[in-house]
Amino acid sequence: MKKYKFISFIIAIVLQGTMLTGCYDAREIDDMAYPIALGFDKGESNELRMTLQIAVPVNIAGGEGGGGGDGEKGVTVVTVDTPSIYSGLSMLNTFLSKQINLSHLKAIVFSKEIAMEGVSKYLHAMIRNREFRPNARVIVSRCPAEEFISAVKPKLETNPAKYYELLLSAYKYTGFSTDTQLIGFYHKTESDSIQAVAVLADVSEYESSDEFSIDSSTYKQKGRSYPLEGDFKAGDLPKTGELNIEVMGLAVFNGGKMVGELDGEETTYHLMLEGKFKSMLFTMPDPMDSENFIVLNIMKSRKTKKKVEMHGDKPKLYAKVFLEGDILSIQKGTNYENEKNTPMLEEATEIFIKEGVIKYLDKSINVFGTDTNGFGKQYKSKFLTWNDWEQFDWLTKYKQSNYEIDIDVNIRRPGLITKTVPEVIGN
Amino acid sequence: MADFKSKLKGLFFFKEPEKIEKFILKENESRNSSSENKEKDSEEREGRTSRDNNNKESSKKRGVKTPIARIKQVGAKDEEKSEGSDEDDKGSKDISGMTKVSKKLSDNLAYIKEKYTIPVNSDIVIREFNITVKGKTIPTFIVFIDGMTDTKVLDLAILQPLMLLSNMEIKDDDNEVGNIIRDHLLPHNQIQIVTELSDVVDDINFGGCGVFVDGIDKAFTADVKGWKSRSIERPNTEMVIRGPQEGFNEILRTNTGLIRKILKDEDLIAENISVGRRSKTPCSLMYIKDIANESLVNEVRRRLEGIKIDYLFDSGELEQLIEDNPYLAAPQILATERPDRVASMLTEGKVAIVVQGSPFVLVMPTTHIDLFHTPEDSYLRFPYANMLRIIRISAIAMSLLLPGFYIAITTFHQEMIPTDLLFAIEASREKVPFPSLVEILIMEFAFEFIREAGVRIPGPLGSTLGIIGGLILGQAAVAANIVSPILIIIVAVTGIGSFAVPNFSLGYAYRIIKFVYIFLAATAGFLGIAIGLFLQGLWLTSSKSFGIPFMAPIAPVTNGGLTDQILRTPIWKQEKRPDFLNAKNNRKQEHFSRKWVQDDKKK
Amino acid sequence: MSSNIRFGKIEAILMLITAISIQLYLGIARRMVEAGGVAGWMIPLYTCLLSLILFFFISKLYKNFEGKDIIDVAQIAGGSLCRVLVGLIFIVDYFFILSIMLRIFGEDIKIFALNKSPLSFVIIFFVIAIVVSAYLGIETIVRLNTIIVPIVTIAFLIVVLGNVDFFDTTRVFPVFGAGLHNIFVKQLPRVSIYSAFSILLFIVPFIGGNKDFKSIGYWSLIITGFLLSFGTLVYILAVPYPTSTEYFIPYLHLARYVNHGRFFQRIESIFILTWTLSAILYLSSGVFFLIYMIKKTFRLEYYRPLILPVAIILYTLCFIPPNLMYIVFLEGNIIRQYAWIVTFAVPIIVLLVANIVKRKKEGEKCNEKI
Repeated sequence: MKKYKFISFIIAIVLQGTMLTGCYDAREIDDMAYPIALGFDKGESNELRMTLQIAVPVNIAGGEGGGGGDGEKGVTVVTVDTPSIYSGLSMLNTFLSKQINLSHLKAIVFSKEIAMEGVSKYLHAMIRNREFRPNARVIVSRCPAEEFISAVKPKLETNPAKYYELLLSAYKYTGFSTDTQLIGFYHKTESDSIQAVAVLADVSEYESSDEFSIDSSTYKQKGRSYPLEGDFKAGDLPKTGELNIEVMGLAVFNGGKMVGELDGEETTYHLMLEGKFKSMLFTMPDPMDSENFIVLNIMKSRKTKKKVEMHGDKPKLYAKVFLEGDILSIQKGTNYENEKNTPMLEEATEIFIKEGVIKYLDKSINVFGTDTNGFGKQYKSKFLTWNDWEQFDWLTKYKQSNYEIDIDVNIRRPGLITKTVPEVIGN
Repeated sequence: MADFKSKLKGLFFFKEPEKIEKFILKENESRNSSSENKEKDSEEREGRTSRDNNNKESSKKRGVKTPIARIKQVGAKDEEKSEGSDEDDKGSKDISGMTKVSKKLSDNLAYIKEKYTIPVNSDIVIREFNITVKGKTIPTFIVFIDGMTDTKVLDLAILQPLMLLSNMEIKDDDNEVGNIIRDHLLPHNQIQIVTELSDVVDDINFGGCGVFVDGIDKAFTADVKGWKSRSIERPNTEMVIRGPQEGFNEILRTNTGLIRKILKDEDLIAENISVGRRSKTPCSLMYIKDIANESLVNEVRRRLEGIKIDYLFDSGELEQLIEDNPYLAAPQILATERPDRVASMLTEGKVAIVVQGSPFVLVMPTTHIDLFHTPEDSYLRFPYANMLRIIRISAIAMSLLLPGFYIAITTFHQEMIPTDLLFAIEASREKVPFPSLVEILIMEFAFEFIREAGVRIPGPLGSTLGIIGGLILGQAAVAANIVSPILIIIVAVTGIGSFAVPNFSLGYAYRIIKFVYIFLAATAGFLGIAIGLFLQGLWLTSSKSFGIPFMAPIAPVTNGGLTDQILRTPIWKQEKRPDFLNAKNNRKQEHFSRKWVQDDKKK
Repeated sequence: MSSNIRFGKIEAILMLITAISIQLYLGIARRMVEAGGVAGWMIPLYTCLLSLILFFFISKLYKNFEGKDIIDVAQIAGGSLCRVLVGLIFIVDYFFILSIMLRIFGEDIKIFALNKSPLSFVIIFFVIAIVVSAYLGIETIVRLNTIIVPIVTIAFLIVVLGNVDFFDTTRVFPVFGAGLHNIFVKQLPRVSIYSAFSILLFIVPFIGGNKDFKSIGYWSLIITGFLLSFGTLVYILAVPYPTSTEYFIPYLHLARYVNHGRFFQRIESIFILTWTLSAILYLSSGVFFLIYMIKKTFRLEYYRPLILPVAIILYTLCFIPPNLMYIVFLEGNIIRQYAWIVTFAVPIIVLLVANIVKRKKEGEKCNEKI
């Protein structure tokens, strides 16, 4: 029985000792402030301008159960000019009553300006700290981050954290952005076989629908006479309403430095080549009548096949994308549901997508020169040791690549109707 | 102060431990000891049943006929005679020195009167009368305790025959008064001839009736017990939906009878051992002779016989007197109200103790896993039983750890909470003035109050408690910003979880340990909880219940007999008894118990 | 500590597995990647093979010494002097390793959970658990393994399965990573990652005979070799190569990555729980055997008086290194490079000498008879 006396003695001592000396790390949940988004701008009075969007839980969860919260009041935005991230947090805590805890941060917003300069130094600081979650999303804002964060006022949900989470995973069904978790982004900036991208975002420029213009759309560069839905970058969309921000397109990085932007359509092709593509609603001109559109619901049917071969000193990239689609709309009313016409539609879709992919790859290789699609990863297996691979210097070689793209589209379902009976117009 | 110093010294300085060999249940009892035991056993049995010449027959029947406690059948006639004739010529003697029944009735009467402090003691009845045997009138008296005897039986089977039948002519050559009385005049089913006065007193105390006849140095005791008792009711603490609905009551013989009713097995032994120097509470040590490990039975018997206490009232006290480790939080002996549970555990090779006056029967040895089981588990089909077990285990884990986890997560690991929930908790806590630790302690204590009050509250007031508990402590506490609503849920789930513990002793244990985890979590978050779990694990694994590791068969791992431990296999797969019990016969059923399946195939 | 303490094969194997593969929760995955690049997963397998061969020799040599631990064998080999010498080697080795481990566990907890608590506060928890467990004896510690190991395994599997989304099979290429020479020749001393295997040499009296000794040795080596290799492979698959050399506690990062939907994420705090459990389990069995060695070496009658002094010495020793970087250097470049000398070389030498001595004695006996 002596041993139990001993144990109870020890436990008593521990309990007393620890309870009396205090619980060093104990922080009450309501003694802390939880920022949801963190923005970085070039500071005017100092190195960095940091903007924090801090949740106000009482407004989000509605306090004592009475009444719902309000999305707009759910957050408060503070900005500070500071030499570094952590010094900024200290500065903020001089007037913010609650200690800042970053463990629920959902979005990290870099302004385009700062992204062009390079974000590696900030990334390292974040990875070193346990409070930054690896699944916070990295966003590049075309406008100052401060402006962007202030503009985030969710309407459909009271909780702005949920807004970010849902908005930034919408790529699964729009194909216009991608999944840029902090950790993946970080890994790609340090990788020598794939390079990083980040979601592009901006504040809408139009106050009302009268001001809409499509001047900044990219359709002209693509040789189209009218813009399709993907021919925009964030901020350029002709849209208005209470939700004031846009997320579309990607910022392309070389290492930690941003080198260019992709619009929505190119983002789709990037997703297809990288293999992250899930599904989207896809609009293209009718092959028989380019004035009318055909809308398909395109999904990934199999994993994208990628291969790299060296032809002399120049790499040749092969990619085969497997897609399947359901017909959503045939404006012209042509009977593409017919077994003779379906292959025609499939072929037209293949050609349309292939053209787009080729344009995108062209841009990727010749304009940006960054392998954001991970072709390098495929070629790594040809080497035996890491040294050989490093000396091969893929990222430089990528800039001289040729490519061969193959698209395979299968139209599977026509929707609820099996054929289109043309409208009858009486005289 | 000096005492404290020496205690402190005792903690830090090493004292040479005494070499005690603790009881460990081993597989192979040496042959010698077991055969010795058998001899002993058989001797005892002979002593008990030697009245009839055909010993064998009676011992066969013995399995069915319950041998009645405290009734000792005295040996052969000639023995009695030789003893009796010695004291013939002695006159009246000092009563206080008496140990044997005297030939003189007045001595016996005086002895009884002194022993029971008559007339101060009002419920002791002494009835004096005369009987006529073969023409002689002999003064006689009977003594019994009013209220413990069945007066009808007493009148019909003792008084009436003695007073009336004795006048009839008896066609027997035997002139021995004692024999005549026993053979002809007392038509009662349980009559003993006793020579020791203390035995008579014991019997009377136990609701018997003592008959003293002048001129013979023997007394007769008749079992006319008629005390009032509860009838057999549903067990209150272990309810089942499917399965027998009988529970034990307070009468030893009813309880042993209930067990025998289920286990119709002549190898089921019910040994009598009385505990308590004064109360002499009869206990019955039950086991199945050819299944239970002998060393285990001997150990239990040794512990029972080694109790030196004046009074023993309930099996709860007995449990505390014989358990291995009184400081362990978890119970090491299973107390159950259900005969079917006891029966099924006896068939596994365990030992049960039935205590007179207690509706709870003790079963030992017990492992921690046994405490998770309910009797219903084996009556339900195995998928249902397994679902129940998983639910139960998670409920138990909840009742132990949930408040601690809540504290650890909210005060140390906020990153773990999903963001929506975090904001909800923060918003609800915003107006609460207490730190989480105090908040949860307030609620836990409030809940414990309700619980304790719920047991003690007089029946008609029961509904008030619901109002107070539910409305005032639940809603009003939230409305008054004393606690946050999330915390009410935590406390409620913890409470419900602890009600799902099938063994209420274990429920108590975890309710206490829960508080330790709350404090540990408040000190160092998950590190504290991990240390707590480790220490608790050490505590449980290091302890033993009657020589069996308490955490068997997980720690240590034993082979075989794992079919009904954490999860249950179909009943036809439960072929072996748990290995750690070291039963004499390890197989429960044939390898292929569903023989009809084989027969089907043959067709 | 009476000799009638016995424990089963499963318990012993589990104890060795915990003691060796606890490194997975420390930096072994990173260290393997540092040493072998993306082929780091080969090193545990290769060194496992090596240690199996070494163990084959040890078990062969042990044939004549059934039921004797290495200190008993040293007594046979060279009398009391040899016994004390061998005992001291092991004692110093264990003191060194355990104090460093204690410090690392404390520092790790401090880094990822209790940033603001002083290190002494964190480590005192470990020390208390160690003292209590040493007090209750080896039987309890070994048995506790069978309860804790399944829990830890489940947690480990959750981390692995939660990271399946992040797996990228192209990350294991180029196949030979840092190069064959780097992996197979330079990493020869890495057999030291199995240094905790020396516990086996001390549990000999508690297990049943040479047959159990052999099977415990082989099984625990094979399982841990597989586990360490698998663990490193998971890390390599989930984290691209040059970055994977950055992370101090690889598995903490993997636990942080787990992210399925908006709810199933942020599980790394649970990881702390299981992590601590297995860490204490390892430390307490290590400290118990340290105390047991002292008792054996100096032929003391009781071991309990040693518990508090040893705990206090360990607690003090672990504060000597000035910083975490130095500790990591000590663990990676000293223990995991040179511990094989104590774990494998010393026992083999001792056993060889003991065998020779024994044969000589037997030979003399034979001569006498003739």
